[in-house]
Amino acid sequence: MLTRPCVPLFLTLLAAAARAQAPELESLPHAELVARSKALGGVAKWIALGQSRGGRELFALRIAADAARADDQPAILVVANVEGSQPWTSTLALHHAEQLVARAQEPQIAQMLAETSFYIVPCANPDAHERRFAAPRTERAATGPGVDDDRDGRSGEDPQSDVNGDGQITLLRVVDPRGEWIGDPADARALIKADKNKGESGRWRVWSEGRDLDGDERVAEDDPLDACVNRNFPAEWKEHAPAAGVFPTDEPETLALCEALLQRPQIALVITYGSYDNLVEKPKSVAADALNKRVPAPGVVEADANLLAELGKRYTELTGSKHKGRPLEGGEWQTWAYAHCGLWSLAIQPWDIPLDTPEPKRAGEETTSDESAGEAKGEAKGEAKPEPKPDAKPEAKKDKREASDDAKRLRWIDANEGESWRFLPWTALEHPELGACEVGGFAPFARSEPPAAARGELARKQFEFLTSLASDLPRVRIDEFSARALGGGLYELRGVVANPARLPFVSASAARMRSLRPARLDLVLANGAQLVAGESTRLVRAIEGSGGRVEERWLVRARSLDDVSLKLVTQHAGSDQRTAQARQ
Amino acid sequence: MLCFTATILASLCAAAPQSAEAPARPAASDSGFSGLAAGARPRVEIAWNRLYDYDEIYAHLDRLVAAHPTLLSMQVIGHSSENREMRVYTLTQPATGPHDSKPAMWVDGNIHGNEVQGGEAVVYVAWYLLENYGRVPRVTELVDDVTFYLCPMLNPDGRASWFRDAHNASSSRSGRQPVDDDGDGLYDEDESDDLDGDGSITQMRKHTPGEGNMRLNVDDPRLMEPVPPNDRGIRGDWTMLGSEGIDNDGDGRINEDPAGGYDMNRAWPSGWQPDWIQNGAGPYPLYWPETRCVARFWLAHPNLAGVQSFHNAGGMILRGPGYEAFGEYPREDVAVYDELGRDGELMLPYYRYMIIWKDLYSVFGGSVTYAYEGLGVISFTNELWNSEQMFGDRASEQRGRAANHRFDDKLLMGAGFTPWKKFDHPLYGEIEIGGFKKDVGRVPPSFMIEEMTHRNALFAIRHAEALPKVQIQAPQVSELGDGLRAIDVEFRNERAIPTRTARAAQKGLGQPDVFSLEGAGIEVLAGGWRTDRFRPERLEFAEREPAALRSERGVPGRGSVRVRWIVRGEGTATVRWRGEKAREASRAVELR
Repeated sequence: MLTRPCVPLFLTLLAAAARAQAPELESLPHAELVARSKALGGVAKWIALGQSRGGRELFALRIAADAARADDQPAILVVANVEGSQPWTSTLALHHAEQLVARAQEPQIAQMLAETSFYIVPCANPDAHERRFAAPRTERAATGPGVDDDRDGRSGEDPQSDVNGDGQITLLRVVDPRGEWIGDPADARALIKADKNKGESGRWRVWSEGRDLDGDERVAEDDPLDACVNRNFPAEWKEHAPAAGVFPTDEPETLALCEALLQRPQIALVITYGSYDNLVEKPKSVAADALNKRVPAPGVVEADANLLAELGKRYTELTGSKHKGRPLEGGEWQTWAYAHCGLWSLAIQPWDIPLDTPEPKRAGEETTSDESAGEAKGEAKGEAKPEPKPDAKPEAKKDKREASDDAKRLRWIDANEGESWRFLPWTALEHPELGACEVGGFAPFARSEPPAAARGELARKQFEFLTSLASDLPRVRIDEFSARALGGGLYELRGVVANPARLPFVSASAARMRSLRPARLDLVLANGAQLVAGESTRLVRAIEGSGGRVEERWLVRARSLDDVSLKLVTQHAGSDQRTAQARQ
Repeated sequence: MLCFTATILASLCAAAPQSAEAPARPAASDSGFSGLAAGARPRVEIAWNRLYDYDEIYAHLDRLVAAHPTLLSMQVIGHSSENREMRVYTLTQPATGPHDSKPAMWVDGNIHGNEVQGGEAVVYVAWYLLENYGRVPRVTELVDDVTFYLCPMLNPDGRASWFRDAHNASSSRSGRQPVDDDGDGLYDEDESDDLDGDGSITQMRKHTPGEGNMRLNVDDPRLMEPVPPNDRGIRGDWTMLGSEGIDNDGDGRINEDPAGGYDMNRAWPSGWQPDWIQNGAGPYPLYWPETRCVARFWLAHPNLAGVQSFHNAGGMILRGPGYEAFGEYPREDVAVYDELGRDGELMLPYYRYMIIWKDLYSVFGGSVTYAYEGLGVISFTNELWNSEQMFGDRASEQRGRAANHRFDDKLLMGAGFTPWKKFDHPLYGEIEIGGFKKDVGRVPPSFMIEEMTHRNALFAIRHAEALPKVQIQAPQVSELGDGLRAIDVEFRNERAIPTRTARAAQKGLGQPDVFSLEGAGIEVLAGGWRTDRFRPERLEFAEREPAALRSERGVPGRGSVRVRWIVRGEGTATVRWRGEKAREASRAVELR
């Protein structure tokens, strides 16, 4: 913890803080996240949000300078590991909380916390999170009710299991004429789908590591748990998909997070750390009126997508991140926060194995336990050559396809010392049901646990981006409340509400849904002052960002302008009050 | 190849162990109430010419529980927003098997607080069945075979307010959880006001000579009619000012934030859309406790096989889909809906069988569409009472308010209308207040309530009679030589509804049906579905577990499934059908 008085060079301090934290930024079991969160004290307040299905505590930390004002000022909600399979993001969120607390007295941080509250949920899905620390380790995220996946009348009778006893759930591959997979010609350890159009036939059948306990010639196909917290939110919920859950918000973690947000209308922006992204790559955008027979098209409303893209530029400049996340499957938290609540919702994938490691000079020389790799390569090469087409451009190398993403990830693993744990070489195994097969593949959490040496820098940059957003939050104020005397105690009043911040008062999504409470503008008259024209209460639904203004006018009779004031109340963008000032 | 030499000592028996004892039934000398009126004296007298407040509805059902403690029981499945009990009454003959071993017909009412008569119709279902159990053979068989889950009020708070507070026919539709309808930060602060104290929210009108758009009907000055656009300078002398009320919160608007403000029949998971697409949907599906506890009850009862939800009004027998983008339901299920719906049109004069989105309006997240689309259960919403019933075949002579007046004048001596009366309004000055009371328009007058409840209850009972019932026909055994035998069994369902709807089969809802054969000393070598009645080799045989065949499609309505097993060994085999939506059936077959 930093106790030094603050020094003028902000960035130096940040770097120092990062260095102090670096060795500690490991993934932490839920109990440790709880203990460290509870120990925070200072400007942090523990907020209980309920319990997971497995009985673990769900909680948020509220961080704000002044506890009395904390629930009234504009707020940012940070949610980590709602997916369950991204445990390191919990460490990142806790890091942010600890940084804010430790540095709450630094002028910039103090100023920020005096105007902005942070609600941080370090671990929104503790039951799945714990699988990072359990034996065997698995990224499987399901924590809720199971269905009879294979429709054999028994539910959960054929779960994943650690067949080779290495403490991790990876993959099994077995040579099978029904198989759909072949080795990537660029790196036979990586599997790609055989492309029948290219004349390729599959070689491998691939299963999750496990047994065939029900004897149906399928492996690990019926786990006792199926519903996933992060597929159980109402937006784009995929009814009847086993992972989607019984009904939206049936998962206690899902419901707790929904309620945590709904009960805090001061939250204007949500950041979700996990395996999704909408900053590095501009999200798919739709027109605000894109409806199919009244059902809205999924996607981000165009105006919002444009703004996200601007924030995204800053994000990539600050962090250098190129991680584009994985595709949405429906029912995700961050989609609900945006599409049904209308909040600014940023999805961040803090780390993944980079895809840009250059190809080694001689790719064919690597050693592998996979004796069939060469064969697979040869086979693929041999069959991938199409007949030259008459219209084919001479320079096009048709048979040289791009390496798969997995092959690119393997390049990075190979090129970096100490990272070999991330891929378990395919190893022959005599499987009780499958017979001869191979076990291997990417280790659980290989794609979300940053290397030890990179964590400090990563966390520092993410913290920098997070805190940069505080000044973007919409903040409305009464820019002008002026009175022009018309004679005889009659005044013409002009009130201007302005939003100097970058983000509009509400997103285009919220504007079309009317999901957020409008700004309320009340003309307050005292000592017999009377409204002559205009509305004493006005509800303002939209105020643009970057200096957007909304003007209102009234006629009043008053003995003194001291008796005429204007009150502005919003839920998520601050409040203000002014007494009328004379104007020419 | 078929031969019939094997001894067949087969008997249909219910699987439940309780079936050994004959259920206790009332003596035939007891008087009952079948609908045949002469000399009938019900065991529990309920006046079917009234509408009852929520506590009276429960009290009626509790009296029925006291009179029929074996057949009827009550459970509290949750609490409403205002902490009223959410009750479900279970009606079945437990001696023929526990309630959850039988297909269940769910009947609810009053999900919209103002649509009160659904509650009475649900009570009527219980009352009618209990009065006639042991007297009318079809009722006895039904109560032996089927379970009824009866939820008289899905929205007891809205009902209580509709009775307690001043309302019109359409208000108090919502529950009572406060909602900030107008977005001003205040909750439920500008409700309608019963300014004239007649117990109803009626209309306000103001005499504005030459400045209005309405005029009084020359034949009946109680009626307002719009002045048609004209070039002759004729203008109306009256202005309509909306529902009775004042600007309680001083924001310049009247009655804009009443109690509640949501719709519990837009809250269900299938096809749910947020508020801006579907008004009243709430923040997320099943947000209100009333809806969530019912959904959980349904999910906890896989024997749920039929749903009826009573609403008012308009005389409709509604089925999904609720919105166009869904498409149409599978053909086989539509056939079932059509058969029941057309029966309903006969049983319910002036009611029409309709598809919600196409013939009414779009509904996202309705409860009956969830029952079908989410759970695969054939479900209807009846809209009770059609004002065409006031004058029967002569309905076309009079429509709308004029007809309401005519009916009120001729048959109710004008009791349903509050005459226009002067009132000094704080904003509008001198106005007049008057109009139809809350129990005119959407609920029938007292003397027509019994007919409405009976016909609708009997439609729900007809629906329950269509729930699947599987019977196993006498197995046929063929000697194949070398000690092998083929056993051909027909599983028949005479009822209209299949054991698994096409929707359930398509989406894998609930558990597949199981067709099994087992017996000591009998080895099942192969088994499968016969696809051709004359060619035994046309067999879709199972890859594994031939002794317990599983089927997503189940046993069709009014149809059968033929199974062939190839077995070895001797002894008594039991052929069995098990599924979620019908009682288990079994039959013994001797193999010697």
